Amino acid sequence: MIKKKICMLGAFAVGKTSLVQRFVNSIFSEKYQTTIGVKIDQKLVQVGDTEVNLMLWDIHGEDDFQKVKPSYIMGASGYFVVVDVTREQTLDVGLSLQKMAAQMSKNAPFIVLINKTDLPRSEWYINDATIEEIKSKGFKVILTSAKEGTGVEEAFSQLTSLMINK
Amino acid sequence: MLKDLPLKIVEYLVKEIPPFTGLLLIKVDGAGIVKNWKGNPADYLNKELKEGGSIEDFVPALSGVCPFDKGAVRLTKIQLLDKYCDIHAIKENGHYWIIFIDQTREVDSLKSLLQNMNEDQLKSNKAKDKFPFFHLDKLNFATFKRDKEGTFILQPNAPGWLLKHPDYKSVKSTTDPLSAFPFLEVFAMEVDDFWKENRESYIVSETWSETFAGKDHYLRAYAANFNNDNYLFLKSFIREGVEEQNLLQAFRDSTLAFDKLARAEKKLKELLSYKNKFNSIISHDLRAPIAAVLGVVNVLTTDEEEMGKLNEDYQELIHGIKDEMNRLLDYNNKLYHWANLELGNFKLEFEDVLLDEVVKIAAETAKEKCNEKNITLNIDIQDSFEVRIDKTLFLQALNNLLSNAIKFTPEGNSISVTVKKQDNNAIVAVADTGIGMSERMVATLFDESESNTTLGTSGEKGTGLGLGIIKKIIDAHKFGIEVQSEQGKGTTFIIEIPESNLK
Ligand SMILES: Nc1nc2c(ncn2[C@@H]2O[C@H](COP(=O)(O)OP(=O)(O)OP(=O)(O)O)[C@@H](O)[C@H]2O)c(=O)[nH]1
Ligand SMILES: [Mg+2]
Repeated sequence: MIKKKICMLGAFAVGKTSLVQRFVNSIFSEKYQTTIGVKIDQKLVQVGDTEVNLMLWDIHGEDDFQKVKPSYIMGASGYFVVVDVTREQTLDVGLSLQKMAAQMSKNAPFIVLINKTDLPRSEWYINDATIEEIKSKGFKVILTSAKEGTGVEEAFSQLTSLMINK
Repeated sequence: MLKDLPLKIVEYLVKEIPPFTGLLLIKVDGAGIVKNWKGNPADYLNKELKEGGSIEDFVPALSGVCPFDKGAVRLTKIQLLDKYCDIHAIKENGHYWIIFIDQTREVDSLKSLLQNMNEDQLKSNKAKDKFPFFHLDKLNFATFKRDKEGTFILQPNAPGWLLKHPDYKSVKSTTDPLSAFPFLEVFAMEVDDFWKENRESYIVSETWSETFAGKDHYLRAYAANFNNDNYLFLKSFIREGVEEQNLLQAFRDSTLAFDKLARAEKKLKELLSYKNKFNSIISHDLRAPIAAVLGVVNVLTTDEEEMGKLNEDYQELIHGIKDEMNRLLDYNNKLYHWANLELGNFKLEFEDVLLDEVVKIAAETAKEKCNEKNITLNIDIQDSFEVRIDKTLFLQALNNLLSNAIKFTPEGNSISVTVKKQDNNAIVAVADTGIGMSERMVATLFDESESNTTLGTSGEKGTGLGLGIIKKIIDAHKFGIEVQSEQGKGTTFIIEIPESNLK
């Protein structure tokens, strides 16, 4: 069995913990409980014939008070950059974390997750044009909702196969 | 409490897990003179804290420590009143923030630890030499020692929280903590060199969390070298109320709430701006047809011959149309101005003019309406000023003020406009002898959400826009406007032009 480390990166309250909890335990909570430090969850997945143990590093959100330590990303096989579709500034935070992660683990694949897409479109600050702009950098983007489960399985399975096939 | 503190200090406070409790913060300058404070000084000090006093007078424990230029200060377990506290001093922007943190609970738990240690020592003098970290479990530390193969072995005594972990059900468990707690893989890499060096010291990890036995644990690892051995300590911070007291959580919650409000406000402003654009376009386009109809009516009413052919009822009807159309035009003009002012579609063009002249022009404009109602207009120029204003807009405000005054002044009464100096400012006061306003009405007069339109003394209808226009213009000039009113006596509007706009 292979072990693979995946990091969740993003600004605070974008839904990193919620995405992991949806994926691992199929649950969602409306209550916001900010992650302190790091919380690691594990999930066994099957990729073809191989069984993979995913170590999901749910890292605290970044803001002025808490900067994500580069060493958290050490040894990661892949990572997600999570963005809150209703909060414009979370995109900048996500993209700058991506830059840092790219330096720490050069060739690790990653996917940008635009989360909370269950919220009404009138509240979206990240529109189609912005999404195209992110894609044009060569980044893979998936729209997700931890609340409704949309795109969550897809996100994890796509990242896992990117990691395995590398 | 956090909102008014400098970022650096908030940063220092919110990161702490478990969170700091019972906070008192005192800001002092380099010489230790008290500037201000947050929190309740009476929790720790028996003297009333005063700005300008020396911190040493209030906190004797700090005497000799100030000034703090020797670097970071951390005094631990200081007894103040009935409490134990830690005192930290942090330099920020040339000042120092002295932070008091309640440690009474920690000290209470230490007391029993000390008691235990002393009792053990009495029993066997050698207990301490045998194993230096024998009592650390009482402080929630688990101790692991690295053997020759590089595996970490759990040492006695194991703390209760660890024994609830599925990998450490037994004190004899030999599970490598690095596999039980994957977070340690990164920490172990970080401290590898430190362990090899074998320098007697320690390194603390970041906080991480684990859930087991149905409880959330906050954990922190310490790498330490002692007597040429490598140790790994794990400390659990599980403590009731950690979540509730967590300043970081509170701060993020309020940031999210604030963001949400800001987004709602932005949306609302957009909507309002649409509304105003709409008003602006409509009122602009209505102007021409209204003016055209008025033109025709004017031709009719001034043609005595044609009018003479009509019977009295029709004549009255046509005069009625003329009045109504005039009112509509006035309303439309005001709406147009108002919508454009709202949109911020105007830039003040300042020029130096004589204030008395502007007032005289406005009086001239008001004259006709005054005559209609037999109102005496008194102009009282006590001081002469040259002022910097946007003449067109200021005149528009004055005109609006005067037509308001006329509207609310009964026939045969008087209105006065006074220009004078007051506290180095120039004052233009427009006073009517009308019906006056209630206190409530004065208080909400400039509030656009309130509809304050009232019929005039001769039944004149208002647009409810006049005051809004006045306020916008005066605000744009950064002048002041004030209302004094007494019901049944009259109302005075006072425009205050500050010294900076006088020549
Ligand atoms: N509507 C909606 N709400 C979501 C979604 N995902 C998360 N949330 C809510 O957003 C808030 C933050 O979610 P978390 O998962 O705690 O965010 P986080 O990124 O882990 O936050 P930090 O740990 O502070 O960095 C919570 O109130 C969640 O209920 C989603 O897909 N849709
Ligand atoms: Mg989280």
